[in-house]
Parts: sequence; structure tokens; C-alpha cells
Amino acid sequence: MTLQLPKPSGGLLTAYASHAGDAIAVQLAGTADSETRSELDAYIKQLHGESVRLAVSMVEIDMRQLEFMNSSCFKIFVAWLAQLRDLEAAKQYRILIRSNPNLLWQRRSLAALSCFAVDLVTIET
Amino acid sequence: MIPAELLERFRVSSLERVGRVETAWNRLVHVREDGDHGLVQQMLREVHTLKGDASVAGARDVLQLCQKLEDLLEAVHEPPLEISDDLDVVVTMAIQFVGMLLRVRQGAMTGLDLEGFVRQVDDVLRETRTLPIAQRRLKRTTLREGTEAPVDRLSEATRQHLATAATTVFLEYLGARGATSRSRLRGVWSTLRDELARLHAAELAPLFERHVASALELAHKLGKRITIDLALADVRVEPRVAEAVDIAVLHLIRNAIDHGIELPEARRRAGKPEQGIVRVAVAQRDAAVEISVSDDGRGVDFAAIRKLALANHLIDPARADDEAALLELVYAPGFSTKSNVTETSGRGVGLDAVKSAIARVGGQVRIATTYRGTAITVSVPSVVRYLHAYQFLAPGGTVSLAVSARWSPAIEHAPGPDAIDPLQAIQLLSSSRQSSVEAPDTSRALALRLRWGFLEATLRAATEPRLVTAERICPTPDDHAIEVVTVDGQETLLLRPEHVADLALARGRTMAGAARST
Repeated sequence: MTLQLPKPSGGLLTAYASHAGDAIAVQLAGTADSETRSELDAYIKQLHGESVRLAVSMVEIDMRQLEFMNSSCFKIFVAWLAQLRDLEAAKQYRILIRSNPNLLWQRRSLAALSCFAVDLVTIET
Repeated sequence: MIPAELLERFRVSSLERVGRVETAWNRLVHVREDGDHGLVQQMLREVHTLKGDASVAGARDVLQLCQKLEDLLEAVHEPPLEISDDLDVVVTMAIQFVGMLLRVRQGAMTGLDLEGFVRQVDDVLRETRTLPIAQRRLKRTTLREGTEAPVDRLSEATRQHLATAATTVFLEYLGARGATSRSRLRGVWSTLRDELARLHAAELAPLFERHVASALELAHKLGKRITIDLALADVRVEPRVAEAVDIAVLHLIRNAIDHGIELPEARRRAGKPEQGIVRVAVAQRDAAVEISVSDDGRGVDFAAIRKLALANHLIDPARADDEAALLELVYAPGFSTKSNVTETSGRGVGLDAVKSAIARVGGQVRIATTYRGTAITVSVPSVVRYLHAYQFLAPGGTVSLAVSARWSPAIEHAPGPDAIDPLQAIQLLSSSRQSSVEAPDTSRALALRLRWGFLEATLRAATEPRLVTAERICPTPDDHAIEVVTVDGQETLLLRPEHVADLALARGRTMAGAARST
């Protein structure tokens, strides 16, 4: 099965996804704010759908090149975690978020985000 | 026992209330208009009612988080009404968190880390309160911090240059013929690897041990009697982190002796041994290293902090008895309860200097105090760096290779002519008769078609890839084709396929040129 994820077309936010073995890796770069919110929302929903369809055990989100994410976009991630928690245990996958320690917002906000599902989310610096 | 019907009513009405708070917050953040202060007051009322309902329903977690949400909204309410991105994110997530607590109330609570979340809220609150108003209103304050170059005993570029040289030695070792050559090259590689590891990761224990003598000397000078107790685990951090921690711990030890530990007479009067204890403990906590400096002195003088805070309008008089709020002030720049700057440890508690030095290297500082003493804990990232990778054997089946898991591999059982032999590309399998790596039977090899975004490369392989965790022991720059990592303790060559393909291309041109000239 191949991964079917479109690239967000917004110039301010880019995402590259790849699927190998039982993992999906996504690289996010640019800025996630009100301009790109709806694209990110659609993308994350599709990512969740694909992750379940492909029965992966890990989704890796590389945010090291993501310069900024506003509160609206964080809500998308919170909603994603809620969806993931609602899945039956056998269908759940883990999320690994690679973060950039030089970006203060990532250190604080991603740590807060992980508190929504500490059993499923790992933040790597 | 609260009836289930009542609990359900609490849950439903509270979720509606959370919805109203969220709507009001969005309006406040995105539609700035007159009457914003009224909007904050409305939210405060909703949260306050929710808190009361949670208390009645016995929902202690909801109550605790509502208390924090109130604190956040009160921080927003202070004129001028400005909301930083950090504050916006944390309030938004706090509202979401309350909603999630209410939704899962009847189900499993597994995975929700309320205490961890509250700590994050406290961090934002602390910074919001100590930031000058002018800085609070800065949007995008969360973008890349300061541009100061990290203080490093060896620059990153030099370290990477050395790692590249060490990698070349490792390749020479792999390709060497003869036991003597192999043994000699193995020895050189091991020395370089260990030296690089030392430069990459500094031990903390030796740094702290050298502070003992100066601490005892300081205590003697001040007429105090102390014991320094070190409980040091073998932990390592990046050199720049070690440098920041070193300075911070020196400052904290001196602070503990100067401000914490009492004179022998005062200790005797307080029923304590004349000799005070300053304890420095270091421990690994998951991906962080925690260093605590504690003393059995008098603890933080809340009365003095309160007096100074009120005199300088640093705290709302209504909160002047809140010790947690008072304690937060010790992180404020220049805050000091000492009337005179002391020669030994500068201005008062001086935690602002420690906190900013630690924050610059990605760490945090916490303080806990009672009348029996004070403990300050510094938490910094530890040095271990792992990455997910696909490991496979090179054609011939003797050399272990890997590529980062950001590449997506597809297996080809009939490799085409574009498939690169990685060992040839990195010149490990050279035409040279000196190489000990035998040329494989390529007719039986697989190929891995690797894709990462728009990049693509096809590498010949002897086995299918498996997902592993690799440890970076000798990090080379991202534009270098090779790096030595370990997988399950075994050295493996991590390839960067985009650069391996470049090498193969360059090698093809060189060989074609050589053929023409002969």
C-alpha cells in the first residue's frame, strides 16, 4: 500500500511525507498560522486516516524547520490526539515529534501538547 | 457519593461553559475591539463558576486546571491588554485540556498528564509576569531566541571536521588488508572516536568536584561551618550546556553558603547542628539531566520578599500572602531582598542570572523552599542523540549500512543500471587490490529505491532494510555522505543517499576520464 497524502500548496507551509515499513515520516517547514490553518487541518486529518489505513505503528513529525505555529494550529494537533486516543488500543500508533531546541515556542508548547497523550507522544530534541 | 445524574449534568453544563470560554477567547485574540476587558471578565466569571461546580462534583483535576486558567486570564486582564503568542497557545490548550478532562471523565484517564501541563502553564505565567509590559505585547516572541553564538570549547564546525576525518579512518580500517594494518587503524579509529565523544559530551562530575575547595574557603571567610555533600551520577551534556551548568552551580553553591546557611550561633539557637550542609546532586531523568543544589539553611525570607514586592508594586496586595507568587519574583531580573550587594554572591538570590544562563541552553530552573532549607533544581537536556534508520547489509553481505528513516525505501529485486553500489561510491570497494572488502556477486543483489520528498536514489543491497534506532557517536555535517553510528552497539555506516549519488556520479566521470586517457 502506498501513502496517499497531498502536499499542502500554501507557500508558507510545506509538508513532505514518506512511508516506510510501519512508519510514516512527515517533515513540516515554514509557518503554520491562520493563513495555512485550513490546509494543515485537512492534511492532519488525511494523515490520521492514512496512518490508520496503513496500520503504521509510528508517525514521525519533524518540526525542526517549522518556524512558528499559532494556537489555532495547535488545536488541530490537540484534536488529532483526541482522535488517536479514541481509537481502540490495537489501532493506535505512536507520534514522535522532532523539535528544534533553538525555538523557544517549540520547547514550551510541544511539551504542553504532549501532556494530552503522554503515553502516545514523544518529543525529541 | 454524588449521584450519576448530577455528575452527568455537571459534565454537560461544564462542556457548554468551556465552549463559551473558547468562543470568547477566540474573539479576544482575533477580533480586537473595545470592550475586550469585559470579555475577559466574562471568561473569568465562567471559569470561576466552572471551578465551583467542579469542586461540588469532586472533579479535582478540573478544579486544579480552572485555577490555572483563572491565573492566566488574570495575567491577560492586567492593562494594557496584550496577549503574546505563548500566552495565546497556553490558554487555548488549557481550555482544550479542561474540555478533554470533562469528555473522558467517564472513561479512561490514561495518558493525560495534568501535572506536567500545569508545570507548563506555570512557566508561561512566570515569564508573563516578569516580562516588562513592552516585551509582553511582542507577537512572535517565540521565534528563534537570541543570536549569540554558543560558548563552546571547540566550534561545531571543527568538531564536524574532526568527525569527518575519523570517519575516513574508519573506512580505511574496513578496507584494510592484513591483521597489522587493520589492528593499527582500529586503534586510531577508537582513539579518535573516544576523543570526539569527549568533545561531544562533557562529564559534569569533575566540574562540580573542583568547586568544593572554593566553597569551603568561602564558608570559612564568612565564619560559617559547612559540609559539601556531592551525589554525582555519571551523566554527560553538551560542552556548551556543561559550561552554563558549571557557572550556574558555582553561583548556587555560593548563594546557599552566603544566603542560606546561617552562622553557627544562629543555627544553634534554631536547634540545628552548627555545621550546615550544602548538597549537590546530579541525576539522569529520561532525556534530561537534573542538578539540584540544596541547603539546610533558613529558607527563603518570604517576609522580606513581600515587603520589597509591595514597596515596588510588583505584586497585587491581594496576593501578597501567596508564597508561590512571591517565590516567582526571585526570578525577576535584579530582584534582591538584600539591601547591599554582597561581595560574595552579588545581588540577593540572583536566580535571574542562573535562569537566563540555563534557559539559553534549553534548560529550566525550579525552586522549593521551607524553613528547613532551600533546593534549587536545574534541568538541562542530556546529550544522547538517537535517530531512526533503516539498516541493511551492503552487497557482499559483510558491511552494515543504514540510511535515515526520513527516506522511504521500496525494494527492487531486479536492480536496474541506475542502482548505485554504495561501497564503490564511497570507495570502500575500490578497484584497488589493497581493499579487504571483496567484490560481491551483484547479480544476486537487491536494490533499495529511496525517496525523501523530491530526492531519490537507488542503492544496491544484500538484505531488506529493517527499522532500527541508531546512536550518533561521531556526527558529521549534513552535507557529508557518510557517518559512523552504532546500532545495538555495532558500528554501522550511515549513508546520506543524496550525497552518495553525487559521489557515484563523480566517480563515474573520473573512471570514464581514466579510460579515455588509456
